[in-house]
Amino acid sequence: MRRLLLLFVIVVSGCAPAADTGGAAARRIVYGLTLSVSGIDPHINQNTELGIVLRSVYDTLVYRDPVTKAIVPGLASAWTISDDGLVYTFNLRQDVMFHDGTFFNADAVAANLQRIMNPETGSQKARLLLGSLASYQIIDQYTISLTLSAPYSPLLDGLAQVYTGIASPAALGQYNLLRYQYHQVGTGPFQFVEYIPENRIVIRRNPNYAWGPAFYAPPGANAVQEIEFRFYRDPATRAAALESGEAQVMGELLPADARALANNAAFRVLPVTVPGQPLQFYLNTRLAPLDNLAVRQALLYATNRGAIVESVYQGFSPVAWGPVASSALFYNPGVVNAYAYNIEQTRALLNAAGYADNDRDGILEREGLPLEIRVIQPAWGLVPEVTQLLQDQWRAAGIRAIIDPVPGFTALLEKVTAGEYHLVSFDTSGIDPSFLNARFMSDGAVNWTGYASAPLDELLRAAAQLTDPAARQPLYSQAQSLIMQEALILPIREYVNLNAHSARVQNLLFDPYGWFPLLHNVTLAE
Amino acid sequence: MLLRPLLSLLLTLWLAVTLAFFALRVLPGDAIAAQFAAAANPAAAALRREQLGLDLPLWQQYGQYLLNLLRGDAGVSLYSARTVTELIAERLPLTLELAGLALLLAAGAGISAGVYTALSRGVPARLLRLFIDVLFSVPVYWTATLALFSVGVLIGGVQGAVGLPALVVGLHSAAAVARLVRVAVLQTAGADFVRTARGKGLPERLVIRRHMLRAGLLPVVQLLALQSAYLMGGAVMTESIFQRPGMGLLLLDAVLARDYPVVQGVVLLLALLYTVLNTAADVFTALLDPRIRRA
Repeated sequence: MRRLLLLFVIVVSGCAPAADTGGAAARRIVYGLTLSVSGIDPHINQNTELGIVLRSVYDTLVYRDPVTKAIVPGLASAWTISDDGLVYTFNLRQDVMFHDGTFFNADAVAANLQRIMNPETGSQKARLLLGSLASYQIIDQYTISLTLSAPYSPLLDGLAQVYTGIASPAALGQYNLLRYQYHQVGTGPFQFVEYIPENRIVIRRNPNYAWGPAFYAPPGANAVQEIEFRFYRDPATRAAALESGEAQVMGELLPADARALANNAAFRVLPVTVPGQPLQFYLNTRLAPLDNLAVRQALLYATNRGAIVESVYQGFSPVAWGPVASSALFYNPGVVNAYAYNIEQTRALLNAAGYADNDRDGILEREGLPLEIRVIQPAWGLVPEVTQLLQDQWRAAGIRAIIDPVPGFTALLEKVTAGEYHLVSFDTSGIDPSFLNARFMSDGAVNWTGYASAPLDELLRAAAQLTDPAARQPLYSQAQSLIMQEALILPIREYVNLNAHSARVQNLLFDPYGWFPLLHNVTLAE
Repeated sequence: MLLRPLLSLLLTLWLAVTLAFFALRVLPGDAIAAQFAAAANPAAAALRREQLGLDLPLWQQYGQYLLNLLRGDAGVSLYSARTVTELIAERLPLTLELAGLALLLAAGAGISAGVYTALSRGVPARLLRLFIDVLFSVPVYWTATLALFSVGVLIGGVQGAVGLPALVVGLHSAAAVARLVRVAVLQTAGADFVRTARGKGLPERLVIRRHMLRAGLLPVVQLLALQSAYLMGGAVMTESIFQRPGMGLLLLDAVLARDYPVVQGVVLLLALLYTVLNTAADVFTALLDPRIRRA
């Protein structure tokens, strides 16, 4: 029996949380990530988690200022764009050293572009960010020019993202495409220490860093020296890990947990808006009855978005009214309150379209067919909670929602490909609204509304080619208005990443893309 | 003499792998489609499929897969591009650790509790029996969720640790073991050989250990072997509840992402473990039971 007890003690003690290692000497923090990832090579993989870590390992040619969102110098100290918008010439900094001791120059930039553009690399995101980039020319040791096959104004936006971060050519040459992710070498304020899949990623301060963008201050006395990133896939465990002291920073908390932490003096809740497309449902205009504009509009009027944001997101997110979040560039505020909750309007539209509840079962029908809307429901982002409320709200308007849950993105894609859906939810992050092109152009790769119209195509095509912001603004404004006039989407809420951290952690700042922390100036108080 | 079990083992493994190979591929879509969907990059997806041989006819892929398998090459994950052997080698220890600890607990606590509840008629023994019955009746995911919730709230930070899942799963197995041991001990208590042992003046302690337990343990060994197979197979559930990145979670993620090679690899390994453990149970039974050994 004593032996049994001993076993018990051993087993149970395995549950005890790890000791808080953030001592004064170490200045080490644990930063909680959410998903576990397929890989963390920024040129290859597309996940957000890799960016959270590697934003501080790599510098990019340009940065976006966290306050003004403007493109500012990074590894490139200056650049010019030819009048036809086809040639971008970058002057590079001459004082930059990679973590492996090799020096940064135009050859390094060329090696990175080469790697991203090479089809063998299988880039899931970085190649897309480079748009119509066709070739590059090394002008001299510290000057490189990039030539596009067609004007593509989001190029600088792409070059500001960690996915196009500049890696040491020596390290890229030393490891193959699969192994490089375990031995990453950049020029950023932190250097890569190790990546153990499903377990942790560790980065350590780069003592030589002196070429950061202007918005970085020199690191303070209490600056964090080492950061260990761990994965917390189950949202329910995230707040617990913070409270137990196992982690000092955590992203993507559940709204209710964020509410509770906000009332605890030992923690700071830091909601960060993520620009891009809001959480929204695409309305499949190819499938009856949503081929009818009046029915699409009726669905929008029947949805009480304020109630959804209040109950599901605990008020942490702004209600979304259009296809572009208010924190993205070229947002059109004219969409605000379009299709505000109005159930009378829903009834009027549906009656005019020939719907009536003749069999008195509470659901409208037309020509004997009940008004049923099939909704693909992914398991992430609290979408199941949202569709639950949609179902209730629509029933009050005589519309039956049929929920079609999918466990993951692969299954969601299959349902979409099969085409048997009315609504499907998805959101994309990004600052430059060129993210609309793949979604709303008639030949867009992920055009899930099935909508095809020459005017919208033309607006989006032209807006992505013009380099002058003043010229792009009206085009994107019109595109947003058109998308809402046609009721192609049901926007729900703007995406807000609910971060929280120990009160001892200070100066945690996020870049304008919302997901990525700028860790250079983070300090850990005694 | 060893040929028959070996052949049946190979047949089992071949069936498992073949089923896993075709079952997932009946459905459209694969992990590659999902990776390149947002990238609007059909050329990249096509190139990746070509690199991995996914553009070949199905029977050809199947044949190639079996050939590679015989060479010890289980393929490459469509999702992470890492080799399946590497992924499994990384995850298997976590599952083995959990299953091993749980099994220790199941054997230790299960046998002790079984003997105790068989021999004692006091109130504590009755309460223990009630507890065992409840534990035996409720599903593991119920206890697991409850434990995760209460312990998570009390101490927090249990993610990935082995203690709590081993405790929950181990106690469930222990309940099954305890019930069996109790019945076995009660049955042997009235047996002739036990009466003889008592009659020749053996101390009660030795009567229990040498005679009652030895006879009663036969079905328990069988049960423990089955339980360990169940612990490996059940890892999908426990690991997803406790978010412990072992083989079970690997399998679940791979199924959801349609990562065929990983699913095939894990299924193959689980089938192998299951079959080997069952065979081992038969062998142990033979060692412990003179009647079977002689036959």
